[in-house]
Amino acid sequence: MQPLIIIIVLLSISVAVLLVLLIMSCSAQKSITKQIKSIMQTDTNTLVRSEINSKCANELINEINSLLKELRDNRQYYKRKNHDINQMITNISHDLRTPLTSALGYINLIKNSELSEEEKYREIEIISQRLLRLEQLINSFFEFSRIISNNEPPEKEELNLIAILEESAAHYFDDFDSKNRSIELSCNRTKIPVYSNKNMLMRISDNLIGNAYKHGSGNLNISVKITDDDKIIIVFSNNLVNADINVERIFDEFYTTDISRTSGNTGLGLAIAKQFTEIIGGKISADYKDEIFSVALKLNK
Amino acid sequence: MHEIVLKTNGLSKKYGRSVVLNEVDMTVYQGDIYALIGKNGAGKTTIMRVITGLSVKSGGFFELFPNERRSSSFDKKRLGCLIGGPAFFKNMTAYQNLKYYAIQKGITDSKQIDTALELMGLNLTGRKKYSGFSLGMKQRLGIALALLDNPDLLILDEPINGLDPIGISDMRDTFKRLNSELGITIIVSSHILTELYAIANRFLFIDNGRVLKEITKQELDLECKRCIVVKTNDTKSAAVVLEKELDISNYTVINNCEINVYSKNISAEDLSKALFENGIGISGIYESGLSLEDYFKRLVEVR
Amino acid sequence: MFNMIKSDLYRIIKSKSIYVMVILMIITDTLSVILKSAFSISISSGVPGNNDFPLPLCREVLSCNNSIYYFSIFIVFSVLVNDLSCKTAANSISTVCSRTKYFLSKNILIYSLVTVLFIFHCSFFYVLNLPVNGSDYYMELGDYAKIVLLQYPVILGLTGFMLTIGFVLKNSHVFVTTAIITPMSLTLFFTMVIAVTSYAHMTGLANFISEHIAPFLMEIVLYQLAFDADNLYIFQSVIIYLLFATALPCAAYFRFRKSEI
Repeated sequence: MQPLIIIIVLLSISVAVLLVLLIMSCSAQKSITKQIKSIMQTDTNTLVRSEINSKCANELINEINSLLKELRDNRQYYKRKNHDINQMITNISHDLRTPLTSALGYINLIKNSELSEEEKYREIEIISQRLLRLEQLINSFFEFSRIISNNEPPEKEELNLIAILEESAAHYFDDFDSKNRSIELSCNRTKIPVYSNKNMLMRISDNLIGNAYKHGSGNLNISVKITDDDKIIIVFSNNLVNADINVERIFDEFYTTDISRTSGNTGLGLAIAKQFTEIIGGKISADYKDEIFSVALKLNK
Repeated sequence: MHEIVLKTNGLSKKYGRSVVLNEVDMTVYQGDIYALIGKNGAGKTTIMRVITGLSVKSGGFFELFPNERRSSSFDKKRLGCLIGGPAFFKNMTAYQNLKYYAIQKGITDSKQIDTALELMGLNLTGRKKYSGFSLGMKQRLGIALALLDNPDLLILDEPINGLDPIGISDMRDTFKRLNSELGITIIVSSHILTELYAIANRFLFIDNGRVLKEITKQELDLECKRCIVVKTNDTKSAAVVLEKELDISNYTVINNCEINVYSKNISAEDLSKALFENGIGISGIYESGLSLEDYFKRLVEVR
Repeated sequence: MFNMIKSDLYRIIKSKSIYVMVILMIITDTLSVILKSAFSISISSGVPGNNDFPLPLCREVLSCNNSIYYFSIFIVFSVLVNDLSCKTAANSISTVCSRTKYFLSKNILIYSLVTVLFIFHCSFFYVLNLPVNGSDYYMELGDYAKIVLLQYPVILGLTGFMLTIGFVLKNSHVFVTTAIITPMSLTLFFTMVIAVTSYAHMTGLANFISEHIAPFLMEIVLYQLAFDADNLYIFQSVIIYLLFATALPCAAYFRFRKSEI
């Protein structure tokens, strides 16, 4: 009898142990399923956690968590991209509005004032320049939207930086001249070769000069230097009356200094310049010292 | 628009007879960095303790991640907290302390602990026991614990307490990054108002357990940035011009060379024109605003 | 809940105090075997009993099992009170589990550890005693096991008591003091009361206390159970201490649910 009892006891113990293991494995699966359901229902960062420890379950959980992390990263990436695109659209429409408004202003001038034929002709010239620029900008818009949505790098070509800066300065010549201000380009060379995208460099320069026009006073000085490690540094500097500037926030989309609020500016100009600089692989920074506001662009050759 | 992450309604807390929270209403949206601003003992820590279940509320109603379909135990795990100072076991190292909690939470991947320590700059503490940590390190370990399990909501009570300036700046960048890249909502309280202003997008001003104001950053900027500072040597005549010619009574003469005009009806341009036309020379005119501290002081006084 | 228990085990293993306790227990058991005299923590000195025949060492040791209570203070402190008083419990309760789960997991772990400790102590002594001291000090395994089984509810009840004061007091210094002093002072108190009431001729009260309260004090219960008590007494003591083991923690739970952490 004795051995029989021992055998029965041993058998029942092993059956009990097996049952317990089975129940544990079942409940581990159930808990994983429940957690995945909850996670998929919400926009959350949590991952699946193990409630009942077993090696197999933990390995499964690790794999599921890698999947979830990938899902989450994808989601975040698309959220950011979406935000960037919307941002771009806002920026572009701001840029398009500017020459259009300017052209309309001149048209009004022709309509409403008594001007001589010569003066009228000059105004019409200016208007056609503005509209040409508008056309250029619209063309750039398509190029940019392609770049942003496809992550295509901008087309680069060999360019003369000085020529681009001069052309950009020419866009604003009349505006500066009407306020008795001038744009000075100081560089010890007439030609600086750079491998970059023409449209973007033009836009950056346009925006920086436009910003100096709107917010600064006195003459704008553009200086170009080449450093020892073959980098090009362009500094746009001008006087600035308003002392209350936060240099760190100046590239934020909606940051404006207070005086400018009355002239209807939205503060996007510098933000656009920053975005484009980064796309062509450059760096941009601002500084305000002794009432001189300067923006420095660092580009690779 | 954004999902609500926390909503309280008339939340109250009494200790015996003293009322520590009095009808607190607040709403936090997903993706916010929500700042609690108040004096010592105003109730900021108490709010955090009540919403995480460390203190039992005396009245009112609050809900974390309101949603009927999910269980509250799931939602509890989406929190990361550092409330009332870091608390850890003195005889264990940083890694062991975090591992203790990792086991509790059921984290299967031990690399998460290393990631959290690295993020807070504690991965080189090696065998140093918690009792030998400096205040800044203890604080950072507390935040590492809060970040350990990929939270959706961080509740941090004075997280930069005890950190050096570089640590504060690093923390600011980390919070911003967590918020923008991982979409983590952060509820934070601090005494250092400038830091809060730099990172938060919504603010709750609280005093003596009562909510003074719940306001977004844009609204706050609007309310703070409204004064034109006129610098002139002849403040008396300037004041006369303000009152007689421009019919402005809402101004303050700061000292004998500065006037702050609070009226919302005039621009700096018109003001300078008017003063010039009346023969008053100005050496400077610009728009300036209230600092966060001044704004808060004003709120407390009005009450 | 498994995770909570597993994490506490991890923590205990990393700390040194548990090892100290186990080594202490091994030392005292070894000393008991070698010196042929039981190790006990009590107010009275020596073991009262019949000096007519040699006292079985095993029974003597079993009668002094109240030292288990003092050893388990280590366990309750390490698992529970340390957590509550260092405020680390706040980390768990805010983000990991509810108060109920926390309470249950601590209870389960502490009861299990105390059980393991008790069985270890009893079996270690028995196993060591057999070869070293030979048949003179031997006791049948069956009898030995029976006494251990009878004493087990008492141990559970005492653990319940410690758990309750742990959850209610939440402060490590106050807990340790209270836990150590309570049994001794209770015994002292009732002994004094009996002496005073007898002296003051309040024999009724004295008899009442000595018949209904004193027999169930910790040291006396364990002593009696080791030396063949009658069935009624066994029944009463088991019921009383099981009640301690279940009712006290319930009360502690309701208090714990509303307390500040």
